[in-house]
Amino acid sequence: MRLLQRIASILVTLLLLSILVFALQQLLPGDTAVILAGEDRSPETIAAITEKYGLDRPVPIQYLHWIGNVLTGDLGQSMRLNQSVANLILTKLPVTIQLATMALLFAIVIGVSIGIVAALKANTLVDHFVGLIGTLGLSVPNFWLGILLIMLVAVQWQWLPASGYVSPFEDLGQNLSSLLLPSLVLGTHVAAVLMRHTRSAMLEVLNADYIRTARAKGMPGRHIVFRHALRNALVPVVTVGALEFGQLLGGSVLTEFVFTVPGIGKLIVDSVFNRDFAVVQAVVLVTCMFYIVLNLLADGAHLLLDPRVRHGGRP
Amino acid sequence: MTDATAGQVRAPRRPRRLQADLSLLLGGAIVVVFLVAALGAPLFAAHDPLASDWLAVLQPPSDVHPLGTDDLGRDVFSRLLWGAQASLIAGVGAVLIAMSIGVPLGILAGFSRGWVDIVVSRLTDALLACPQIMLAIALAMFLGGSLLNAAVAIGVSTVPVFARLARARTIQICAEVYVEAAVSVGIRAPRLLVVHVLPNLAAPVLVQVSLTMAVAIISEAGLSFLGLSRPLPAPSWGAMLTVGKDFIESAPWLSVWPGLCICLVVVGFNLLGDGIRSRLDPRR
Repeated sequence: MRLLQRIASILVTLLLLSILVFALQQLLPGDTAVILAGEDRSPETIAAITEKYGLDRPVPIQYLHWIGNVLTGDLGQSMRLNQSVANLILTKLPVTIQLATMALLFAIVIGVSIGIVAALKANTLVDHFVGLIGTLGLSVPNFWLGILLIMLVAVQWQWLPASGYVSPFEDLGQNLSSLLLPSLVLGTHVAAVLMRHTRSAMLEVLNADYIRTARAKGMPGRHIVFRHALRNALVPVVTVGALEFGQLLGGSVLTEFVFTVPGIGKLIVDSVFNRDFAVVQAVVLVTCMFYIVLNLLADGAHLLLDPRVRHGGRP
Repeated sequence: MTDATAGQVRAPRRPRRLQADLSLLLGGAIVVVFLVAALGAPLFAAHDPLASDWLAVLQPPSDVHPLGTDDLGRDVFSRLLWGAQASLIAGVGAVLIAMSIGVPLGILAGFSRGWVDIVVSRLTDALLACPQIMLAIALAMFLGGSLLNAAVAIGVSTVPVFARLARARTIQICAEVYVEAAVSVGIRAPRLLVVHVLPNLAAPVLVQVSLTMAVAIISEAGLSFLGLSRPLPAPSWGAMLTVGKDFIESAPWLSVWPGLCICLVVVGFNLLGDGIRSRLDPRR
């Protein structure tokens, strides 16, 4: 029953999402067909676009037309690149997924371990310092951090390439080194978020009765921290991590632009510069749908990790 | 390790309080400096932020130009001050929009429940599914690049945060005994909202305002970095970074200062928000 409810609410969310994304084009000033036509303003092109998207018909009909196309996998046509948007997204998405995965891994390693240290040293100087670093991580604009790293690591020390992406099928080593700086930059924010979550989750667990019992039994400290506390503290952290992955996919826009990584973020920026509206619309839609699916997976993971949820002990 | 963990996990609450006060103080100070700089830009800027000087192109920091000049010979310090104004306008505009749409929607959803709640909740879910910066970029692009449109785009992209917060708090407040008592003595809904719900919402909304200012300033910088905010040549921090990016090797000061300003102001609003929250949170 609960599963059905969940699916129904996701369907409603997807419906509203599609309406919102469709509504974007209603914001365009002037004649949509003319704007979609771009530089080619011949009457034939405009008439063809009007015909294709049904732009001469009422807005609700236009929406049905559009959503019908989307459901059959037709996300429209890029006016500048002369390619189907679906095709463009399919070629760019793997790059962004790799970047986001590397960023998430980095964020988990850094965020969770620093979070544990902060919790174990709660309210000491170490903890305050970590808190400050966390605030910095949440506040630094990633495109600026990218520029700074390029300045230091790539230009000054010449350790890593400043930009340029190499496909993993060409050379895996170069692929990883070309994505190292971008993933560090992209992961900073998530590392800070995970750090805060790990710290507070660990603190909560470490104050629980069963930890006191374990301690009273004379169990060694490392055993308590890693076997008992961390396992329980990681439950909310996994959920947060899954949700943050969705944010990474879309949040990579500026990072990809700074490092010229050819993913969907760079695709959005290029489309902004080219005024290629259909591409932006489609990328937003696809990223959001991805996020909603991830949300569902995060719930599933929560269910697997936390028996209390599985047995309905907690909502 | 055992001893260390055992002793410090249950440390007294007081240092936390101290940290909250420090956050409040430091954050507040940064925010005040930012406000003074933004509002006093016409007074403090020694040079016209738009005046090019072809004899002083890409000059490193000097006595005349304390933070150097850019590729058109414009004074970086003066442009930073005027850029602060752009950030402030975008931040305040975005927060006002997000708050004035999000809070009433959230209250409505939390108070009336039923289908209104379902629609509002799913709508916030749909908006939250979109990464904030991506939504802001898309909105700004479709609206057309201007400072006002950037504020609208950022504001709309942060509406769900306020809506969700207001809804959750309203539901919590409505479950309180004093609300039950008020209803049982016949107080009507509008009065209930004004007298009981709104005052109790003020604190969490205030915290969110500060945190959203941080998000809005970072987003405006991102939008102007892409040319989707205030049109050039008017100064804004993001647009200054766009120029700096092209002169990373020859003129690093063009990238360092605007980024540092964004970072510092965002830290300020984040600290202020965290500080207010710790101060108001009865559990701490």
